[in-house]
Amino acid sequence: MNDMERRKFEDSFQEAFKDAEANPSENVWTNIELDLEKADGDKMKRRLVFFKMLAAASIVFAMSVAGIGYYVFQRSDTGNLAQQSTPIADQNKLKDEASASSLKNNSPGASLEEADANVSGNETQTNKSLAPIADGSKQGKDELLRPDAGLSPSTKANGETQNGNNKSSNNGTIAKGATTLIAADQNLNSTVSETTSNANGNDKTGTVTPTTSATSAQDDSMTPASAAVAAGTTRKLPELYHPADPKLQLPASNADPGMLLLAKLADEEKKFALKEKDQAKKKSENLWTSVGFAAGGVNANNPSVAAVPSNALYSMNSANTASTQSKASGVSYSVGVSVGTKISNRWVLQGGINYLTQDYDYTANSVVVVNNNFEAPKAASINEFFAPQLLDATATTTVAQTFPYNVNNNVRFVNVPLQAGYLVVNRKFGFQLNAGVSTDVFLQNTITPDGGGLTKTTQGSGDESPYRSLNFSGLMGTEFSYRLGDRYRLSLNPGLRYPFSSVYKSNTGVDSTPLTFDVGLRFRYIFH
Amino acid sequence: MLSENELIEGCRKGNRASQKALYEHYCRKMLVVCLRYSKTTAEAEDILQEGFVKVFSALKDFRQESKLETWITRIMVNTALNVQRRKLYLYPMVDVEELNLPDTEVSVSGIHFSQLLEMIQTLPHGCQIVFNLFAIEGFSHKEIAEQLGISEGTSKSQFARAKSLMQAKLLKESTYYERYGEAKI
Repeated sequence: MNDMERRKFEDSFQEAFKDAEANPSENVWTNIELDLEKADGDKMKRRLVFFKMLAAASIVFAMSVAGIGYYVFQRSDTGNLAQQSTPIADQNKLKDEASASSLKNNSPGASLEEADANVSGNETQTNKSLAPIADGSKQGKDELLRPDAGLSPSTKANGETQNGNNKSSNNGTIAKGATTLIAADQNLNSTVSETTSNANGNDKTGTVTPTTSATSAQDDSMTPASAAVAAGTTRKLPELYHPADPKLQLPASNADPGMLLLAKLADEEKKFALKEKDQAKKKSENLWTSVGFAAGGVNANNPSVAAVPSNALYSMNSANTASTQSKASGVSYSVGVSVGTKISNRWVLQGGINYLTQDYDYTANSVVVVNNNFEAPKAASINEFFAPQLLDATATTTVAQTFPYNVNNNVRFVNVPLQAGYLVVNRKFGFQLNAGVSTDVFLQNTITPDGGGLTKTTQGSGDESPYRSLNFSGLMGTEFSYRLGDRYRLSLNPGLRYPFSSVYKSNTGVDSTPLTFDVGLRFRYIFH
Repeated sequence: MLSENELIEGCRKGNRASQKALYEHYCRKMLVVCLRYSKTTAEAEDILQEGFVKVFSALKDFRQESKLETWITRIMVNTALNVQRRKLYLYPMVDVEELNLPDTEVSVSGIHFSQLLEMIQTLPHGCQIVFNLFAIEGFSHKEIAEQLGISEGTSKSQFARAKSLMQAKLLKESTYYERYGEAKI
């Protein structure tokens, strides 16, 4: 037989099946829909895995940035110390020269080199680098302060960056509502099949209706009808095309089965709608409150220091201390509560109140002496260098030079942040971008010199403090969150804080806008 | 009433209403295709279901170089062949002897397609597939051999046997008509 020459026999078959149609049962579409739902669910699972990976990568990135930032801050602190220690050593040597009245024993150049070596030879161990300087200039120490006071080598310049934990679990995201609907459909379909099967028989247009009952009757390859045809004994069309009478006997009821069916359908729909509504209510997230804490680093961000008044007796070294204090980097901690609400499908508004503590460690080389009382000097603050008269107009305030000592400056604020957030992903896993402003109310700063000889100084808000009582900062950050049940959400919030203006008052002569990067962990309770 | 292009676009976006509309439009014709390759209606509906799921997932790749109906039919045929291949693995298709054919070919004109379908479904597996592919889909024996992984000769012999069986069945039908004088459906 030649493939190219199709004979009448084959062509007639093609013609016979050209417009042939048969009605599939309703179950086919239901099953297709179920398969499509499953496929969508798989797609969602893959997406969820992707977002989990993205979240993990973001956290790793945030931690890396925080780590590198902290390392850089530490390095810059050590660098500042090295810079300021050089002239100190130089000055001490000059004093040594004057007191000894002999230039031949101490060459200035050699001493400077030695001091430099002591300071910069061990960058990572500040304590050790300071000790030789103190030891090498005992005469100067005797002149100003008790030898051991405030000079113990115990610098601590370590900050910590808190890491948040992100826990997530794998949960499927198959829509329960859809499954219920399908189940309801299946019930309904089976009812329809039972009550209306064989309603469509072999008609003149050639349409065939293979119903559920017909299907079951044809599970074997040879139906009784087809067997009869094959045997050639009797001619009877197969049941598939000549459906038998309905096998299902309707109950002895006067009610219209169609109406019963519709009533059942309406009932199912009502149940499903109630269930949907209940689920939607449980899943809604319109008003919430959260409690959390954050930890991170704060970078001085290139402050500028004005020239110290030239007529002041203390002008020699006070600029160094002011510069060191304003350039110091440190660590930042905050705790707070907040409330948030959804203002549209994707936008949220969040506000609250935070208690913020920032710890700066730096090295000073001058002290403040009031009324020439050298027995009780105190660690200097920035405003005392530039405007000592503001502290006490009647007192005689002197800034005296001393050996380097470590100082911890603890600054406390109360913040009132207000942020707008955009929900990039708003599912069980959430990803949100935040931006806003914060009103920063200065509470106090405490300058704690390391050692027993110097007095701890606490400056509250107002004239005595170099810090502005009220300042405003810009906030920017992200929020990775995971919903736990119907009422809770745990989130990780890496973010930046940048003051719009200097944190110091203008009369201090120091202009500094420290940049804070922190990572917060928040626990959210969802009201509704 | 949505146009075919609108339906395709809707299905590509995963719109369930568009998918259902497309299904409603083609399901009846496609069920006949599936019935030709299966023994029972249940089996055909399984193929139809699997085929339409494939259609919806592959529709994004449909470049409209052919008619949508042709494309869907091809998917249904391929799905049916995949199902039948599993059976052919158990019962490999081999060369078969031809039956003695009647001298004159029996015409199928005037016979309702449902009767023809019934006859096709009673053919042996291999014969049924080859008969469908050759006589109705219009594939050559070479193409059939490539698709089913058999030799061209096997395809030819299977078709010849299928044709013989079909003609025998048709002959019985025509004898019945002649004897009892019933009008053909």
